Order: sequence, then C-alpha cells, then structure tokens
Amino acid sequence: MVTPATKKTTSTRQRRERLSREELRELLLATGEEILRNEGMAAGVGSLTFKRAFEWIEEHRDLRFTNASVIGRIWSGLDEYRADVLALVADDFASGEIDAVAESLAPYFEAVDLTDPASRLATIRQLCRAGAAAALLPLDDGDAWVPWLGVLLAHCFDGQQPGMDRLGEAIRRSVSISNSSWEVVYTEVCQAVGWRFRPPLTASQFVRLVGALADGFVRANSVVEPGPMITLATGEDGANEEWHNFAVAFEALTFAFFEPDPDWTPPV
Amino acid sequence: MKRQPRLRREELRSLMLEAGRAILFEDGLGLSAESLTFKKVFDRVEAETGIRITNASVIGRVWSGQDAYRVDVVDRLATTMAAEDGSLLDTEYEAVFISVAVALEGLDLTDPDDRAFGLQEIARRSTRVGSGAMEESRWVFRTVAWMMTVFGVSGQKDVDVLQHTMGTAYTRSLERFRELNSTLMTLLGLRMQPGLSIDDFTRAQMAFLEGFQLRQAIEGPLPDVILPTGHDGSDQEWSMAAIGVQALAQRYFEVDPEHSW
Repeated sequence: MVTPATKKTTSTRQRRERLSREELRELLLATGEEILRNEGMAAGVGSLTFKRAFEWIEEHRDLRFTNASVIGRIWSGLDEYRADVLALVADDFASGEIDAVAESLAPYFEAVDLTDPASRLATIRQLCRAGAAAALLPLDDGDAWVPWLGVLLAHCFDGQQPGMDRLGEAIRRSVSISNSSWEVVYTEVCQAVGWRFRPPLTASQFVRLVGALADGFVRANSVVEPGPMITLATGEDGANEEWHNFAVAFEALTFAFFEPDPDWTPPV
Repeated sequence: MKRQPRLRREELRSLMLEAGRAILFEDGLGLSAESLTFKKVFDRVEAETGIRITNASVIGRVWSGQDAYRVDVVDRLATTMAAEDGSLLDTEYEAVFISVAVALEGLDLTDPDDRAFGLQEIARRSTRVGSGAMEESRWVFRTVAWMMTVFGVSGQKDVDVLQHTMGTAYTRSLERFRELNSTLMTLLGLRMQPGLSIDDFTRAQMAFLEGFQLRQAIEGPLPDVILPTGHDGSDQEWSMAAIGVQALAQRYFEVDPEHSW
C-alpha cells in the first residue's frame, strides 16, 4: 500500500498515488543504493533498514510506505531486501572507473614517438603513472568503496542468509564484466605502443593481479595513512616526477606481464 | 525452582560481551552490529548457561544502553582480532623462514647472480607458504569484516577509538613484514632501487597479498603457471601470487654488487 505523506497539504500530494509492485521494488532498491552511497563510511551496510528507506522516500519523493507495503509482497524480510540492494551496488561498481582512466591516458598517446623503442618504453611508464593514479582515485572514495566492501563481506560471511545466492551471482557477474573491460583496455593500450603479453602470461591473469593490488591499497588507505608520494627521475631528461606507491607497484606488474613485441611495426 | 547464580558486574559484562561477539560472527559481520540487541543476547546467554538476564540487570549497571553495549562488543572484537593478527604472523614468520632456508640451499651468496636467483626463489616459495597460511586463517576477511563492523556502529563517537585500534593492528603487521624484508635484504645483499624505500615495498607487498586473498575468495583460485625460470632455464611452477610478489621485488630491490658480509 502506498500512502502520500500527511505533512504535505496540496491536493495533488494528498491524492493517493499507486505504484505497481515492480515500480515499488525499483524505487526501494534505488533508495537503498542511494542511502549506501550517500552515507558512505559512517553508515555501514547495517544502517540500511526498511524504516530508513521509507523515511528517505518520504523526504525525497513525498510518498509513504509501511512494512506491510513490502514484506511478503516484494521481499520476505529485511535480509532479502539488503541482499538485493547489495547486488545492485555490485552491478554498478567500477563502471565509472574505466572511463576515468581512459580519459587520463589520452594525452600520453599524442606525445609518443612510435618509431623509437625508448619513447615507447617511456610512454608505458607514463601510462602506468597516470593510469594508476586515475584508477585509484574513484576507489579511494569511501562512498564508492565501502558499499562494495560490504557487498564482498556480506557475500563471504552470509552465504546462508536469504537472498545471498543472488548477491553472490551479482558479485561474480559484476567482477567478470569489469575484468573483461579491463582486459580489453590493457591489451589495446599495450598493442598501441607495440608491447605484448609475455608468453605464457595472459590478460585475465594480469587483470586479476592488478585488481588485487588496487583492492589491497584501498583497504590499507582506509585504516592507515597512505605512505608519502614517491619521487622518481622518470620525467623527460631525468626530471623528477611524483609517483603514488600504487603506480610503482602497478608498473612492476606491467613489466612482469608485458614486453616489447619484436614483430610489431609502427603504423604509417 | 533452581536459584539463579548471582553474577558480579564484571562477570556479567564478560558474559554479555562474549555472547555478543558470538552472535556477530554467526549473524554475519557484514551486516553490522545493529543486529545485536539486548534481547537476542539475553536469549543466547539463557540458552547456553541457564542464566536469565534482563534489561534491569545491565542498563545503568553495566552499560548506559544498547548502543554503549554494541560499542563495547565491537571494541572487544577489534582487540581480539588485533591479537589474532599478531599470532598469525608468528606462525607465518616461522613458515616463511623455513621456506627461505630451502630457497637458499646450495646457493653461493657471494655471487651476485646467485643472490638474484635467491631473491626469485624466496618470492616463489615463500609467497606460496605465506599466502597459504593467510588463506587458511581467513585473515583478510576477519580484518575487513571487523572494519565493516566498526563502520556499522554508525553515529558513535567511539568509532574513532575503534578505527584507531584497527590502524594500530595494521601498522603492527606492516612493521613485522618490514622487519622480515629487512632481514632478507641483509641476507641477500640487496639494496633499494633509487627513490624507493623498504616501507614502500612492504606496503605494496601487503596490499597485494591482502587484495589477492580477497579476489581469490570471490573469483576462485587461479591455476599455477610454468615458467622457464630455473637455474639453467628449466621449468618451474609459479603461483600467481608469487608472480606478483616477484614483480614487486624486482621493481623495488636490486642486488648490491658491492655488498660484503
């Protein structure tokens, strides 16, 4: 049942608005996601209750719901609702990350001299430096990361609770989509400057290791102060440049997985 | 009717904290401390010990209310986990040192090439041993779960105190890893690559290993690969975690050709 909030007095607002079961479900899921994202670090997954979601909707949409509107109609209870919201968060995670990285890399391709191996190597290093910084930025944002962390944990610890099988599926689907996109990005970027994977290592292994590194750095940054920026003489003519430690580690993985392609010829 | 034993304030506190910790673990840490109610804890204590507790027994006597109790439970949890992290590292230490001894067997450590090979072998063998121990203990999950539980106690000023506890535990782990790495550097005659420090390496190594455990739980294990990295180009089996650690070691360290013992 959907009842307009009594605080509002206009006749339009007083009119009873009916949402279909599906519309109500969508609204509550989007609200749950919004609450998790907006309340960030302090909220935790446990702060997501029906009451909290109803209040949010009443405040932002001027609609009022009760437990009777949803329990037994849409979800069997709070646990199932939470699991569905977490699945949504898992689905959306990292979608903005790849765009941010791609955007940050564009200028480095303009500067590269593809006929010169040293220039190609320097470009790879700059791509690591800039790309890693761009990738870590959205992950370092607690609002984006903490719900995801909650998703992982809820999955790891609550596999037996209602709805968690759907959550597990959503996590695997989300990670798999994200991994596939990254595999394409890394492969294409390296091919563009004439590098290839060192046999027998593969793109999917590389993506998994880089993902692990990023997850670990974000987790560390949420409990201790990150280490200072690192100054390395990697700029033009040995000029000093600032590196995030994550970028140095990312470069290490890149050099372990990629090598100059001996058969590559620069495009004319 | 059997007379109920009279508990001292401290005994009551201890009983309630232990029950709360057990409930949090069973109900799922990811869903936070909010699911922890006095009623649930009273029921559990009664079922397990036959002791009946009521609100009147605890409110005002032991805690000001349910929120204060939750913070106390999470604090206890944090302290326990911090201690467990330490003891895990003790076990890892031992296992890693044994694998180091095996890795260095037969190598001439006065020869820079052998020392470089020794570093590679330590990465290959010790990472397998170390990450196996981490996996078995679900160390990373307990640590991250604890973090989520702390964040789940929303709106509490005590969160700052709990975050401090987490930071201290992580810092202690970092210090122990750093000590281990310093010892290996001395043993193998290594130095840092220009601009990098042992702290940079240790942070990267720990981040990678923790993240690897997390990914492994979600995505499943990655198969080992065979690489021609043996002394004479012979094939060797590498775990993916070891490949990562070796990549980091190569980027952060170099063999010091002038090193002497």
